[in-house]
Amino acid sequence: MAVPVELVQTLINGILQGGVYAAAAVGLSLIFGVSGILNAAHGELVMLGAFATYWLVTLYHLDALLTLPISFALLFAFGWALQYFVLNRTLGRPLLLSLLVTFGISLILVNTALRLWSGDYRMLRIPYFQHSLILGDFIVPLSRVVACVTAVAMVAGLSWLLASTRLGRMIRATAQDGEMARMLGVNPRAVYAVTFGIGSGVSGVAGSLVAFYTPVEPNMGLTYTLFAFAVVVLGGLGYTAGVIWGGLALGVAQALTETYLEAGLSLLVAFALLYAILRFMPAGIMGKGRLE
Amino acid sequence: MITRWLAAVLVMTLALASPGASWLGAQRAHGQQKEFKVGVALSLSGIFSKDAGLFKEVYDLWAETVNKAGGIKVKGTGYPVRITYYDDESSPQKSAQLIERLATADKVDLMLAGFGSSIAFAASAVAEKYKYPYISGAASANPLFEKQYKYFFATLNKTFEEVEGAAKVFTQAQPKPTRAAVIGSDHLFGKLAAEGFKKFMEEMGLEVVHYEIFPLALTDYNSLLLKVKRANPDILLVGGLFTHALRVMKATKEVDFSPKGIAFSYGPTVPDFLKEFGKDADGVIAASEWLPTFPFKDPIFGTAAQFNETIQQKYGHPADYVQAAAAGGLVAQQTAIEQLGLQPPLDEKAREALMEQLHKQDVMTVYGRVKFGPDGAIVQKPPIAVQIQNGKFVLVYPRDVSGAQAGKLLYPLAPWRSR
Amino acid sequence: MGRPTLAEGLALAMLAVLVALPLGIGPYPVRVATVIFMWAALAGAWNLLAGYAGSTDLGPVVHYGVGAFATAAFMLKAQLPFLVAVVLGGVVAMAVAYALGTPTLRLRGAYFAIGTLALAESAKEVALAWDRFIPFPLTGGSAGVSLPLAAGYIQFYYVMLALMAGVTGTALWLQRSKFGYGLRAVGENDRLAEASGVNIHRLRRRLYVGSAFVIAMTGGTAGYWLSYINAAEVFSTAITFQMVVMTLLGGLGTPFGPALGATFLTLASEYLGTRFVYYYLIIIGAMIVALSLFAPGGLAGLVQLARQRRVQEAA
Repeated sequence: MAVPVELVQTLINGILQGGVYAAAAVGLSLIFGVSGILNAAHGELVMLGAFATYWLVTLYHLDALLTLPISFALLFAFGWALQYFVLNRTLGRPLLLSLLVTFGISLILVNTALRLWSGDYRMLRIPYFQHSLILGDFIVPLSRVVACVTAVAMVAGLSWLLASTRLGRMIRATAQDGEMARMLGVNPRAVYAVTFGIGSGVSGVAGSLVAFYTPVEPNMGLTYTLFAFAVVVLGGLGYTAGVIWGGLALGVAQALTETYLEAGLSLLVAFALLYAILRFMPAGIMGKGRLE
Repeated sequence: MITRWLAAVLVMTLALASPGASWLGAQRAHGQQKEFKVGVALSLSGIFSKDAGLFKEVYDLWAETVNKAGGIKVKGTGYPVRITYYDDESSPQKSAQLIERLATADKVDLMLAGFGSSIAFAASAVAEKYKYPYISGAASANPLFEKQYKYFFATLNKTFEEVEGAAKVFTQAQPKPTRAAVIGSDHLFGKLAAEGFKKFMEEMGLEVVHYEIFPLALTDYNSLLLKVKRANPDILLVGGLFTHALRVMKATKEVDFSPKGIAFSYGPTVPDFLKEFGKDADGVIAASEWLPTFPFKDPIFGTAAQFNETIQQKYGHPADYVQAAAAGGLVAQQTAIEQLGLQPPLDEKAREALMEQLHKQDVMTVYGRVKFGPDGAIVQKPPIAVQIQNGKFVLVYPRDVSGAQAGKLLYPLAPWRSR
Repeated sequence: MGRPTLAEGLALAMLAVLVALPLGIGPYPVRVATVIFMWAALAGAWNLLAGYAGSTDLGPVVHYGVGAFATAAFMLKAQLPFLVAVVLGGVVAMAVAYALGTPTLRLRGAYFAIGTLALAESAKEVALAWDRFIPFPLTGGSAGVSLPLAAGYIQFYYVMLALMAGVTGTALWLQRSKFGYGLRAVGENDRLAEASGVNIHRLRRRLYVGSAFVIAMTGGTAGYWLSYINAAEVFSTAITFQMVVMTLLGGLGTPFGPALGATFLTLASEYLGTRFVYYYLIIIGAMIVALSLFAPGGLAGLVQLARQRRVQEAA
């Protein structure tokens, strides 16, 4: 029967894409939840991670999967420094200020990337990702499966870190009450920096994963920033693990639209969905998000 | 408090107003002008930066070539050319603003076009206002020619017509295809190309089993191509720019969709396409209007083959046909200047004469014959189709172009799994 | 209301200068000035909602796009003259803003910001898909719409100047009127205001619709000026960001801040964009970062700081 096959294939596509969306958004969620910063340069962190993997593979012939931890480390360092030296100055100030500063940062990052690497679209050719798994009637590109699994594992790992480690407890304490945390001996500024570092690192790895199967170019960040906002809201603002649900919702909604309606409407559906959730279920799909 | 900054703003306004507000415009050379000042608003950044880069290469090559020969020869004197580039950031609005700047503040003698139909839409309006011929090797959307501008010229065929070759080539395919799928990116050029493909398919008697326009920001091409695959077409035709061709190609492989034939309105002729796909690109067909093997030549760039060689030497990749199209426009403009004996600086009357000469002119260039119709579109350029065979572009349609013979068409293409 | 202050008097003088300015300067400076006025009007309109009512709208470009297409439609299909078309375009945008604003303005803070952003992006997609689904062609999809070539450039100078003056005047009025006080109370603590019986939703909506009117007319004028509009450009988030950046740079919640920010950023882009063609956006980004970190009150705040220090030194 034709219809169920098509539906299941569409769902598969949507889930695979959604997992990656979740990883690309979890950094934004974490940072906003802990330090209240709305990072307009979020997509650029993804872009930088994608380029890191691209150059490591192309120039140094590293194995693509090996570049993931390197990408994390690079972006962690970058994010940590950004928060420590620049963004820490925006703490306690209105939301708009962090938006403005990060917007300026995104301008710098995009245009520096353009100057360094030009506007060329670059695609990786990874030998062991050239094939797709054929499971009966369904086609599953290997690169996307690996990306999705890694992405979800990363989000799970982050949730575990927040819930069960000392660092995680420090982060959550600082998020809930900065003053209290300080009195207990935690240095909030250091925590914010580490949090931004982790958020950046994760976003960077998401970019690296995306580089496995899409072209990489300096302007790719904006789409990911917009999608990340959507995923975070869908999953619930401030509820980090919710990005999985948000990502899946977004990915599946887009895939369904592409198959059954028209590719041209997939973005409209995504943003209309975002608006609807904001208006009618502001705590996100799972209802665990923070209400303003 | 308000007093202070009001004063500051007043000062700024006066600075703006002062006739010596030279920093709002380039320094003017005093005395007799010994060179042609050429202004270009080009997408040095933004989504068109990759495609626009190809044009900068040709413009720079032209300046270098002309200056090495002593400049543009007018009335016995050689006037070198000096190009100033401004970044329009891939924004039509910015492009329009920069054209106005070049015309009114920098007072350039000549302009060269930016990249793309959407940019040309906005830029051509301003160029028309200030009477600067604007010859584009990169804009072809049909609506551009319906505005009845006198100063806008294009050396590419109109989009709709340009894809004819890539569509009609399948009349030679054996066994005859009966089902076609057409997709296009939601962009001036991409959508028109798709519409053109659809029209020609219907003329050829094929059934268009799937037709879809996809958004520029689409991230998941797999779902789209799966839909196409399910419609079971014999051939797939794609309208769009380089990045769309890239992603569609990748998706067909990922979803294991092997049409017997695949054609693009643009993309495969950009050098990076071959670089990305290597052997996988064999058999891909692209609409084109020029090949280095064509028997064309002109006194500035030499033969088509030489032009290709020069680009290869200088920039490390073979020439894309749009570069030849730009070259054709450059030659047409330069020839017109030389014919009329126009010396710099070029005032409005001189540029008006230039425009009229361009409409009258019929000149052979490295790109082929360049003759403009009254609407600014190029006349008589047969749209061709090229196919990648063993990493090289081979003419496959029409069978004969100005003496260059077509090669054999590779059809049907082997399915992915068996490669 | 009281006598006009020194500031307002000087503003009027400034206006007089600007009205006469085109007589003394060439066409290119006139164009630059027109661009400044356009952004001052846009930023100023955004400032009304964000600076005076405390609502950060990240989707004001919706009104810009609606105004642009509505104006184009009135001119092309109804053959109306430009000035009539642009005002009608503004009215259409007000109706749309009313319809969109009613549900959206119930959101708060970051949710409102993201919600308006979602609205703007949705509007862009609707505009891109419009001609394919609705039998009344309006937006030209990705191809866009070509407007008739305008005869001169002076008319745009004066229209944009009028829009900027209108917005600045409204901000000045808000600064001093009862309505304005109420608004700022809402901005500072909306729950408290609501508890004391203020219908904040209606207040905000009035501002939202009012600013939509100005933004839409600016969009319609800009479209005619450029002779070409397309959905991706007139609904672009880049426009929103520019409005926000200019207001914040100039001074949020001040009547002249947006104009200051627009002047500064436009002139800086002009100067840098031609001297440092390849790097100027990086420099602009750096300037934005520096200014927001070290002068968070914007340029207007900087001046106020200087004045306060002067007063302290005198004491």
